[in-house]
Amino acid sequence: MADSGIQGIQAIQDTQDIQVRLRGALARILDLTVNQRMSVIVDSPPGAGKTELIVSVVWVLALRKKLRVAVVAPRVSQVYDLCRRLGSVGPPLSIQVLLASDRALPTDLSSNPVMLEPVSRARDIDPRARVVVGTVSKFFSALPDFSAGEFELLCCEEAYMSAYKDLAPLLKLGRTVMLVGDPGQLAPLVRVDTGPFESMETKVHWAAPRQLRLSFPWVPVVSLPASRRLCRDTVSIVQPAFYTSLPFVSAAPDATRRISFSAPSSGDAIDRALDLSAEGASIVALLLPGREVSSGGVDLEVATLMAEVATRVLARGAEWTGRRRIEPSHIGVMDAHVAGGASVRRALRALDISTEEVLVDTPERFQGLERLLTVVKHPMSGKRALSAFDLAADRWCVMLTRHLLCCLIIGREGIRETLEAHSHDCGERPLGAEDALWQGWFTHSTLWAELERLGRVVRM
Amino acid sequence: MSLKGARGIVAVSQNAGCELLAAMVSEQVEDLEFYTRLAGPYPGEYGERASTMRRGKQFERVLYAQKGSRRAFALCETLGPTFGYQPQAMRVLDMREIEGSSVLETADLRLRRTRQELQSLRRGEPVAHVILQPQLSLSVAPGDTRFVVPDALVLVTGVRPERQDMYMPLEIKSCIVCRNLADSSSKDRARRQAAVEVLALTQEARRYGLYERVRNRAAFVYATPRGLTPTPPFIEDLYAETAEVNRALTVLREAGNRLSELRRANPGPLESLTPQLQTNYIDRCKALCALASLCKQEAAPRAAVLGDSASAVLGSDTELSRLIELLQGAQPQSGYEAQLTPQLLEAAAGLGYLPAA
Amino acid sequence: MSAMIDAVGRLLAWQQGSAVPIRATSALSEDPEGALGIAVVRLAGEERIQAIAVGPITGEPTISVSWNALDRNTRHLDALARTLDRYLRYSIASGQVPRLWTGAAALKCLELLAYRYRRNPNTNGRIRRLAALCGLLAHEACYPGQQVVVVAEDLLRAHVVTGQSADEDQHLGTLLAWLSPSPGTSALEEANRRALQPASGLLERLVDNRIERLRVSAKRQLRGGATKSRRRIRVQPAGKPSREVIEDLLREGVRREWDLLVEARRAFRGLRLPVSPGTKFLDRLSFDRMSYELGEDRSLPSRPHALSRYISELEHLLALVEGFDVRYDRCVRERKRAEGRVFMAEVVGVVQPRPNRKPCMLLLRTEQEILRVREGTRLQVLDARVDGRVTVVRSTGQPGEALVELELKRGVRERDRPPLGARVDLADTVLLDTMVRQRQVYREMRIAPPTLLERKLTPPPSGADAPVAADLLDFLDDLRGMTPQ
Repeated sequence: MADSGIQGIQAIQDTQDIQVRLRGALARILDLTVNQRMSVIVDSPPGAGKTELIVSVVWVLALRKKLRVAVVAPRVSQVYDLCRRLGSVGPPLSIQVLLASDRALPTDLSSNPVMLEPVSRARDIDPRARVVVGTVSKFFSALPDFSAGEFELLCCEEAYMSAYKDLAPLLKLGRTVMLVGDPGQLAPLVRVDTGPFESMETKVHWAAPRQLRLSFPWVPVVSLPASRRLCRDTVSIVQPAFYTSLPFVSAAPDATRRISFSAPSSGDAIDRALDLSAEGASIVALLLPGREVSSGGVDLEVATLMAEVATRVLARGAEWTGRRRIEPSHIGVMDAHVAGGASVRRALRALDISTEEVLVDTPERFQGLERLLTVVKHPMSGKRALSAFDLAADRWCVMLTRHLLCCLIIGREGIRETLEAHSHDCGERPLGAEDALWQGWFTHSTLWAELERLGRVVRM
Repeated sequence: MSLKGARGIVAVSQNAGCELLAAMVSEQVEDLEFYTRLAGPYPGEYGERASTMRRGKQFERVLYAQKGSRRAFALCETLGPTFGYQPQAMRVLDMREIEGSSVLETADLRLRRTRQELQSLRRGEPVAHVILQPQLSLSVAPGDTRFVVPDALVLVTGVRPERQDMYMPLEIKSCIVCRNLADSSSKDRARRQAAVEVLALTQEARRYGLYERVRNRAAFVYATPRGLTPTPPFIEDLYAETAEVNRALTVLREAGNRLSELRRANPGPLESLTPQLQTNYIDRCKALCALASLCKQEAAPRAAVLGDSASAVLGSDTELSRLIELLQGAQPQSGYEAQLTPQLLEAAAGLGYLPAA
Repeated sequence: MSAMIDAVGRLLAWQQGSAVPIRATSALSEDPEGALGIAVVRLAGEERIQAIAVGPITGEPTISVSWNALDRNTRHLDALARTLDRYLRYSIASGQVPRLWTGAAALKCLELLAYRYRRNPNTNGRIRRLAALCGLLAHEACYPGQQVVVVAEDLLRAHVVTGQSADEDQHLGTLLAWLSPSPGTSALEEANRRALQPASGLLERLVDNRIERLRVSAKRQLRGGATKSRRRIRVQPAGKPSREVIEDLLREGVRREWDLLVEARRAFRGLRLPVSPGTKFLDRLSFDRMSYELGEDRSLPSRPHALSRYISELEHLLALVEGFDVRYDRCVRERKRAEGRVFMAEVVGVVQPRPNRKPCMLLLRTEQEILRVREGTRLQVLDARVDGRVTVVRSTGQPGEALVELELKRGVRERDRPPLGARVDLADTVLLDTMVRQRQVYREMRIAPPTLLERKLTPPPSGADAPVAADLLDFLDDLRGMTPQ
C-alpha cells in the first residue's frame, strides 16, 4: 500500500514535471517565433498536440500582435480541422480559407462567424482576414498572386508529409516560418524514381524539414518532449523503435488510459489479449497459427479475426475506465492494403457491426486521426518474402500510434522467423543514400522482439 | 569465377539458401571447373571479360599513381576533401611494395605490416592516412581463415578529446556512375565485399582493443563517364550487408559440418555428394554461379523458374502444372491453394484469359 | 502491374509457349516516316562505342567501326553525328515527332557520349553537337509516355510477359524467343539457346577477348608501319592485318545487334495492338519538348528550382499516361479495377435543380468491394467527358454495396452526363493541368531561392524550463479561460 502510494505521488510529480516541460517547449517556440522573429522547425512525437501548438502561435500573432499569419497543411481535411480549432476562439479573429473553386466548406465551418467566405484566388483574399489557411498545393498554385513576406508567419502542419519541392517555394510568403511535423510518420509521396536525385546537393524530394535542416543549419529545432495521446506503456515500446533521435515521454497519466470490461473473460485467446490490455498492456499481438498467405494482401482468416476482436471488445462492454463506454465509432481498424481493408469491412458487416461507425482504412488515411482502440493487421502476417512496402517503418509507426487506450495487432505466427530469414537487398538503394529498407527491418525486428520479451504475443 | 577469399563469402551471402554453393565455397572449388566435372564443357560464356579486367586494373593504376614533385597519390586527391585532409599532406602506406618469395609469404608479411599500423593507431602514434592493398584475415570457421584485401583502408579521424581514429575500408570500382546511377548488381557486389572487409577489420581490431571504433561503414570510389576520372567517395553504412555476410559465415560453418558428416559415409569428391546438397535457384544465380543452368533445369517444373517476383506470390516450390490445373478449375487441396486460387483466377481474368471469378 | 498479374501472365506464357499480352493497346504511336534505328557494340566496362549501325529502321544501316575505341579518335561517330542531326532537324522542321529505335545499352552509350563530349574542348564541333543531341535524347527517354526514344526491350516488356523470369526478359534475344518462336523449337528451348549469346551491345566473350589481343597487335603494327618496313608487320593467318580483322568482327557484331532491333520492331508490330488514342497527345508533348530543346544545349537539372520543376513534370506526365491507359486500354483498366482505382457503378439518382446547370449531383451505386474512393476524391466517368468530386461515400447496408455521391464539375448537360440507370466505369485519374503554374512558381524560385534568414539566437535560460514568453503564455491561458488560480 505504502509503495503504491509513493508510486502514485511519483506519478503525479512526473505528470506535473511533464506538463512543465511541455509548457516550456511552447514558451520556447513562442519566444522564437513571436519575440525573436525566428524561423523554427518543431519535431513532434505522435499526439503531442501539434495542432494545438500551431493554434497557440497563430492566436498570439493574430490576436495579440495583430499580425497576419498563413497556415498550410498537406490535406484538406487537416485544413478543416485547423480551422475548427483556430475558430474556436471566436471573434475578433477572422479566418479565410484558400480553397479549390469546386470545393465548399463543411457546414459547421461555414456557419462559424470567424470564418470568412472561402476564396480560390489569392487576390480575392479579404483584407480583414488575419489568418489564411489552405492546403500546400492550393497555396502553391496561388503563389504567383502573393507578394513576398505577405504574412508575418507561415505555419506548416504535418510538414514531414510535404516534399521540399512543394513547400520550399512557399517559404517566401512568411517573414518567418514554423514547420511542425512528426519525423517518424509517413514521408511525402513522390511517384518517380528518386535515385538519380539522391546525390544532388538539395534533395528536393525529401521531406521539407529534413532538407531545410541541411540547407539552413542555423534554424533552431525544438522537440516536443511528450505525447499527450500515447500512454506510458506505448511510448516505452514505440519511442525506442521509431524515434531514436526524438526522445519523448507520455504526458498521459496511467490512470487516465485504462480500459476495462464489464463482461467476464471466456479465457479464449481473444479474451486473453483483451485481458492483457485491461492489465495495462497497451499494445498486444494476437496471432493465428502460421501459414503462408499469397501476397495478394487478403487473408480472410485474419480479416475475420480482426472483426471478431472488434466485436468482442463491444460485446464485453469495454469502457474507457472512468470516462465512457467504448462504442463502435471509438474503434479504428487498419490494414495497409486496400483489399485487406475491404475484407475486414465485409467480416465486420457479417458480424452486424456498422462500417459507417467503425473506421476501416489504410494508415495513410489514419494519419492525423486517433481512436480509443485500434485493431491493426501486421504487415508481415503470412508473408514469406518481405517487400519494401512490408518493411516500411513509417506506415507501421502510424498504425501503432493512433490509439489512446489499446492497439491490438492481428496476424499470423512466424513474424520473427520471417524477419530473421529476410534476405536484405544490397544493390537497389542509390549510391550514398540511407538504407531505408534496413531501417525498416531493424525497426520491425526491435519492436517485435520487445513485444515478445514483454509477453505481449497471444497465440490462438 | 573464383570462390576463394572474400568473393566466395560474398557469393554465399547472395544465395544463403543454396547448400551446394556453400559447399563449393567451403571447399574453395572453382565453379566453372566444378560445372565441367558435373556436366562437361560449359556452354556459352562465363566470367569477367579481358576488357573489363583491363579497365579495372587501369583504373586502380590511375588512382595509385603518384604525381608531381611531391609524388602525391592521385587517390589522395579524391579522398582528401571528403575525409578532411590536404591531399599533399596525406601519408600513404603502399603494401604493394612489400613482396615475399611466395604468394603466401607476401600475404603474411603484408598482414603483419597492417597489424603494426593498427597497433600504432592503438598507441596513438602517427599512422598512414591511407593503406593501399592492406592485408586482413577473417576467420570463417575453425581452421578456415581467409585473407581479405580491401583496395585501401582510409583513416577516419575521430572527435577530440577522446580520439577515436579508425580505418574504414575503401573499394575502388571501375564501373561508370552516371546521374548517380550504377548498375545494381555492381553496387550489390561492392557493398557485400566491403562488408566482408568491415568484418575482417573488426576481427583485426579486436586484437588491439580497437573493436569499438570500427563502424559498419565503407567508402566507394567509382568512375565517372569521363574516362578514368574517379567520383568523389560515397560513404555508406553497411548494416544490411554485414548482416548478410554474417549469415553467410554461419552458412559456411554449417556447410563445413554438413560436408564432414556426408564424408563419413562417402569420402569421395564434392561432385559425388551433390545429390545430397540442396540447391536454391533464384534470379541472381545466373550472375553468381556457373551451375545456374543446371539448377534451373532442376527447378524447371516449379514457380522458381518464373523469377523471384513470381516465386514470392506463387510460392517458389509450387508446381507450375498444379497452378495451371487450379486455373483450369481443379479443386484446391490445401488452405494455401484455397486462398491462392481466387487470386489466380482474378489475375487471369485481368489479363483477359478467364471470366472474372 | 501487380506482382500477381505478372506472375500469372508468366505462368500462362509458360503454358502456351508464347508471350502473353498485358495491354490491349499500343502505348507507342505509329512510326513516323524515316524512323531511325541505332545499334551499337560497346567496349565492356568502358561503355565506349566501338561499332555503330545507324539508319532508317526499315532500311539498311550505315555501319561505322573503330578498331581502337580506347583512343580519342571519334571518326567512327561521324556518320551518327551527320544522320542524327539531319534527321532531328528534318523531323522538327516538318512538324513530325522524331522516332529512334534502339536498345537499353545503346541508349546508355549515347548518354555517356553526351557526358564525355558535350563540353569537351578537345573535340570538334560536330561531335559536340552529336553529344548535345545524345544528351537530349537520353533526357527525353526519361519522360513518362515520351514517343521519341523506343528502347526495344522496354517497349516489349511493357506490352507482354513471357514464360521466363523478368530478369531474363532483359535479354532482348531471349525475350524475342517468346514473341517469334522458331518452328520446331519451343520458346523455352529457343530462349535458352539465345541466352548463350549476349544481346546488350556486347560481342561474344571469345570475340571480345580476341579483339583485346588483336588491338595490341594492331597498335604494334601501326607503330611498326610508321617506323619500319611493311615486311615486319605481323598479319593474321588469313593474311589480313589485325586492324581489319577487328573491324570485320565489329561489323559482324553490330549487324547482329541491328538485326535484333529490327526483329524486335517486327515482333512488336506482330502483336497487332491498336494504337492508344492517348499517344496523339503524348506525340505532341514529345514534339514540343524536342523542338524547344533542339536549339538549346542544356545540362540536366541540378539546381533546386530546376530539379523541383523536373520531378513535378515527371509526376504530372506519369499521372497523364496512367489516365490515358485507364481510359483507353481495357487490360490496364481491369488491373486498376482490381486495385480499386476504377469501379463500375450504376447511376441511381440525379439531383440537378436547374436542367443542364450546376449544381448537379450523381448518385452512384457500386457493388465493388475494393474501392479507393473517399470524400473529396476527384473521379471521372470513363468513356465520357464527365468528372466531379465525391462528397459522400456510404454503405447501402447490402453486403459489399456502396453509394457514392458525385458532384459534377464537368459534363452537367443532360446530353453529356450518363442517364439514370446507366452503368459506367469511374476512375480517380482526373488530372489537373497545373504545369503552367508550376513553371511560373519555379521560375520565381530560381530568381529568389527559398531562404530562412540567419539571425542571432538568444539561447533559452540555462538549466531551467522557466518560460521566456510568460506573458504570451498568460495571454493564451486567458484566451482559453484556463488561467491557473
